[in-house]
Amino acid sequence: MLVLLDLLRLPPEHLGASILLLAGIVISCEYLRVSLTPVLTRSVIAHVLVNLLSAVVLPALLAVVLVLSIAAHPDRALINLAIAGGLYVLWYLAGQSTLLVRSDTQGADLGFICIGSVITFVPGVIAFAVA
Amino acid sequence: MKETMSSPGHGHERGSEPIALPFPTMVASGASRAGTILRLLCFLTAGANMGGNALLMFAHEPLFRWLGLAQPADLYTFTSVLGFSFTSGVVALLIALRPAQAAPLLVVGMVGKGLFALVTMAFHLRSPLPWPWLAFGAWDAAFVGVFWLYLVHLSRPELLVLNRGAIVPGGDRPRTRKALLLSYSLSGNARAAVAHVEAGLRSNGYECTRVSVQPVERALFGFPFSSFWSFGRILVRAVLRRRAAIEPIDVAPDHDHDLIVIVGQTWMVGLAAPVEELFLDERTRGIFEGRDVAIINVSRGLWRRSQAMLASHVQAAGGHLIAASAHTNPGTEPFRTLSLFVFLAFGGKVPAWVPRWLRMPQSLEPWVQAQLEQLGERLALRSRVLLSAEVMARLGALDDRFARMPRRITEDTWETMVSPVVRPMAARGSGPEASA
Repeated sequence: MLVLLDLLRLPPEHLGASILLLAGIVISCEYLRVSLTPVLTRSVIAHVLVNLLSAVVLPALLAVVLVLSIAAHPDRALINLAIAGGLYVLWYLAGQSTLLVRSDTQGADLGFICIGSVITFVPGVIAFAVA
Repeated sequence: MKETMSSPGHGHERGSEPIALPFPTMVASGASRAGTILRLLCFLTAGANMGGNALLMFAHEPLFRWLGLAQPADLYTFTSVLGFSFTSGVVALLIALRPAQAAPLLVVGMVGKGLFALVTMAFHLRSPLPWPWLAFGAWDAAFVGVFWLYLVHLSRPELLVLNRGAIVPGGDRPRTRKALLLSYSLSGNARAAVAHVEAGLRSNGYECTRVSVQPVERALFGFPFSSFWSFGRILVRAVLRRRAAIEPIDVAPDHDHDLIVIVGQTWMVGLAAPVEELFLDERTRGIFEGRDVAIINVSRGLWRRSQAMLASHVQAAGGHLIAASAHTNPGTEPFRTLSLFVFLAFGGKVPAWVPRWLRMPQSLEPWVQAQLEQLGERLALRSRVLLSAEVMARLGALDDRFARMPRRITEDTWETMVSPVVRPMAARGSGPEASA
C-alpha cells in the first residue's frame, strides 16, 4: 500500500507506474460516476457520491498529487503540471467512451470538469510559484 | 443494484397471458452492436482465463521451460493464483451466458480483476516480474474497463428505449382523453416546456389541466434569489436530498385523467426537490397509480440522474411509464455551465456588459419547443401496442402515401397489409386505439 501511495508523488524512477495508477483512478472514478448515475436513486449516499465524483474527488486528488510532486521534485514542476493536464484529457475521454456502449449516458460533463480544474490547478500553480 | 434490471412493469395482454415487452431483454441480451461486442469480449476472457489457467495448471513445467521462464518457487501459491484467475473466467462465462442478470457478477468480476491487476503491479514494483505475469495483469486491468462498460450498457434498459423516442404501451384504464400536466418552475424553463406539450396534446383533442407545484418555503425557492445564502442553501439541500414541502394540489387520487405529464429539472445532478415531493408526500403520491405517465426533464446539461429518479418514482408510485424526454439549454461547455451561474447570480437579467460567452440563453431553443409539442401530439395518439418513434414516423409516411392513392387501390392495399394483423388483435381486444 505504501508503494502505491508513494506513486502519488510522481517519482521519476517509477513515472510510468505512477501515471498508470493515476490513469486507473481517473477512469474508475468516471466510470463509477456514470454507472451510479441512473441507479440507487433513493440513496442519499449514492447521490452525494455522484455529486462529489462530478467535480470534487478527482480534482482534489490531482491537486494533492500536484502539490506533493512539486514539493518532492521542484525541478519537474512543469512536467507534473503537464501530466495533470493529460489526466484531465483522460477524464474527458473516459466519460466520452461510455457513449460507445450506451447512447444516453451523456458522456463526460465538460462543464463540471472545467470547474474541477480550478480546484486542481490553482494549488498546483501556487506550489509551482513557491517552489 | 436490483433496480438496474427492473422492467418498467407494463406489458400487453394476450387473453390472460401477459406478454413481456421486448426491450429489457433486447438490451440485456446484446441486441445492439455494443452489447454484442461486450458479450463476445466476456466469452473471450472466459475462454482465456479458464483455458489458460487450466493449461498452466497441468503443463506449466514444459511451457515455462519452452518460454525460458523460471519454474514457480512455491507451487501452492502458484496454484492458488491460477485458481483465482480460473474463477474469474467462470464469472465472465456466467456474465456472457445471462447478461440480463449479470449486474452483481459484473461488480464481482471488476473487483477480482482489479485486485489482480493492482497486486501484480505492486509486486512488479518490488522486484520485476516475468513478462507473462505483466501481460496477465494488463489483461485483467483492461477487462475491469470492459466489465464496467458492460454494466453501464445494461443499466436501466427501459430508459434507453424511452430516450430513443419510443412511446411504450400504458395501462388498461379507459381513455378519458384528459391529461394532467404537473410542473414546478424556478426560472420559467419547465413552465415553457409544459406549455408546449400541452399545445401538442390539445391539437389532438386532449383536454388538459395544468397544475403548478408550489413549495411551502416560497421565500427560499423564489427566483430571483433573495440572497446568495438562499442559492447556497438550495444547492446544499439538493446535494443532501433534503425534502421541500409543497402546498396541497387540487387533484384527488381518483381523478379522471388517463395521462399525466410531469416536468422535472436538475438540481445538483438530481431531481428538483419540489417535484420529488409529489412522490414523497402521501397526499399526492396516489395520483399516479394506474395512470400513463410521461416524464420530461429540462436542465443546463445533466439530466440522466434526475430522469432516472423521476422514472423510479413513477414506477414506485404505480404509474405506467410510457415516455421520457430530456432537453438541455443551448450552448457549448464549459461556457454553458458558467453562463448558468451568471444567470442565477443576476436573477435572470444578465447585463449587456457581461461577455457574450457568459450570457448563453438559459431557455429551450425553438426546435426543442417544437419537439415537445410533437411529443404532446404523439402522446395524444399513443397506442396500446409498442410503437417506436421510427415506426410512428414510417406509419405517418405510409398514411401519407395512402392518402394520395386512388381509393380502390388504397382499400386493397390496406386489406392485404393490415387486416391479417389488425383483425386478430381486435378479436383479442388489444388492438391499437384509434384515438385521433
